[in-house]
Amino acid sequence: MKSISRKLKFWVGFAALGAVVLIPLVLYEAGAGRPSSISLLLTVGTVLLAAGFSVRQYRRLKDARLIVENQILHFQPAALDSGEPGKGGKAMSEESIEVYVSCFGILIDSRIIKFNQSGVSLKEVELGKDFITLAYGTEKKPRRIKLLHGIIDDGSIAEIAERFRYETGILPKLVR
Amino acid sequence: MMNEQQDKAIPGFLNDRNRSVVVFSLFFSWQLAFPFEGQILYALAGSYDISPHGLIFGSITACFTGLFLCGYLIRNIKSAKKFMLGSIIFCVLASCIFFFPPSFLWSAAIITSSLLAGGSVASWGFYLKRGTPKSERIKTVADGLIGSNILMILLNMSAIHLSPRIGLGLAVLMLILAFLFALRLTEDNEASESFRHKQPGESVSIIKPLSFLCLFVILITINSGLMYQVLNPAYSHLAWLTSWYWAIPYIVALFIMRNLPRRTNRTYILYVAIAMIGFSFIFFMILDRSAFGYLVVNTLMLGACGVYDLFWWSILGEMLEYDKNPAKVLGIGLSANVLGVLLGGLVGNVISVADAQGVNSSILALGVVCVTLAILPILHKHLSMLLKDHAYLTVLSEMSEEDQGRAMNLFTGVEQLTEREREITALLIKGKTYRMIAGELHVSENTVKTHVKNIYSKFKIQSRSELINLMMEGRSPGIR
Repeated sequence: MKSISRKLKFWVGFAALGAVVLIPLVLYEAGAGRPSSISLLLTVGTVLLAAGFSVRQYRRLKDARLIVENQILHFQPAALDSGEPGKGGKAMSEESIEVYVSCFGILIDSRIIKFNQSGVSLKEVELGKDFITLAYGTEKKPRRIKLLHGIIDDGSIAEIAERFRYETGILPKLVR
Repeated sequence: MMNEQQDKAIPGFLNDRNRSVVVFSLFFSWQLAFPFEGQILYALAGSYDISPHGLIFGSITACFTGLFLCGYLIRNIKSAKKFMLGSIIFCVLASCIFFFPPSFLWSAAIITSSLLAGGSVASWGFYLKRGTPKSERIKTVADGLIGSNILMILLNMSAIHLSPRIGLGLAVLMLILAFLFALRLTEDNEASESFRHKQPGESVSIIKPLSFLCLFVILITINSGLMYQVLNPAYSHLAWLTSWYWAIPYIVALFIMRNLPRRTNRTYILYVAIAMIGFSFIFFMILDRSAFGYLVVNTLMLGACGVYDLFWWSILGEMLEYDKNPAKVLGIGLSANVLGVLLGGLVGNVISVADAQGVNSSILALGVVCVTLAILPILHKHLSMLLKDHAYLTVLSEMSEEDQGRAMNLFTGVEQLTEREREITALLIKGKTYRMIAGELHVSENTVKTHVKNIYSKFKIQSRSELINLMMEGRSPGIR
């Protein structure tokens, strides 16, 4: 979600920069008797494009937030360690890939898979000690994803199954 | 029981409904012709060479206050009748002051009589609610407005073509007749008492839809206020025409709207009306100040005013159902109308001082029209949804918990929802907002909105009111 947020800030900043810096520049050119329709078009086009990307990123952030707020399962499949090996110092993970599974979709770092909304339904859930498989999609485009996580105890599996049943109406298949 | 009483037709013309319409028409005609920017007031002020603007401003402000506050003081039909009778007597006395030369009494009389007049109009809400079934109130309101405007035309013409004092005398006569008819109005509290007993729980709050309607009304009537300040003075040299034609398009529009078949989509007519307002100001700028120009401009403007006036009067008439005190609902709603006129008048006054041709005022009015056109679809959609939701929520809230539960159980569609969705549905039909639902279930508002979208999508509906409708009818919804 952090990467989505970063991208959003980037595009918003870019659009604002475009509006603040380039438009006065074009006006200055026009005032100095050197009107340039091409530069005006480029400026407006750039600002609009940046605004469009901002809106897209905002929507993605909203979807990501929905998934995180309703998480049923959360794990970290990978972490990048920047600490030098063998030195015995603190291992600092600079970045980690986070996976959130919720009743509204899956968030894998900055990739969003939506289901149980916008016409995409969750069809089946399989739960094992170290994996979860979800079948989702529409009638025309069925999809399946298998996520591998760390081993979880039976109690947690039961809790996850109950959450899925409660939120989505789907009773997960428990695989031993 | 209350509906049976309402539906029972009392033989003869003068049943309670018609009697109250006559009282309203007579009283309101006095108000329109005299204190509320009436021609009689203009004519009287003109005969003494004094400016009526201060009096008019005081009158409109007082009327607004009277309308707004009435509902907080008048709580039942008995008090409403007493108030109306007392106000009419006071207004007669106050009007008689204008037979004498101007003095401070003129200001005092016009302000106090306008205050009481506003309260009387709001009090009429009790009779509007009592005498007419909800679905027929648009006709009752139209009859009252048509009657009062026809009488107003006669009063105006007498003031302009005969003498202001004759016009004033006839206006006082209207008040006396209103008093005589008002004496015959029934003040039976039985119906309202039984209505109160039928409501087991609290009624659903009407504040949100009423506030929204008031906002809508203020926005539209700013143009009416501008009209008074800009259009009317520009054609003052055509008194022979303006004295009678001014309200004709308004009356015609009311008559047409009153008699439209129920199934007619009135939404399109609202858009036509706003376009008419826009064109009236455009033609005002283009055409000269001849009789032809006046006919075009006035027909467009007043025709549109007729459409809008009946539109919100009829919504207010329906809203009376949702509150124990109809004087409050009608008073607050109509005060928004008066506030719009006041604001429009103030703005028009400021601009027209420096703008003899009225061009800047017209441009401003066009600006208001454009803004209104842009937001009208959103306002109207939101208002319709609020009213529909409100109507259904009120019906539900009047049912006992047991009946509500039974209706939920009979609603077969509920089986198709997940447990979470069922939780949310139960809170939705109780009238809770998304924020309240989110608070109760300890989830975010965004989550609630997504669940609600899913619920609506499963039932192939688009609003809360449709959901309640499905539930009440015990229908099996079209599940995807």
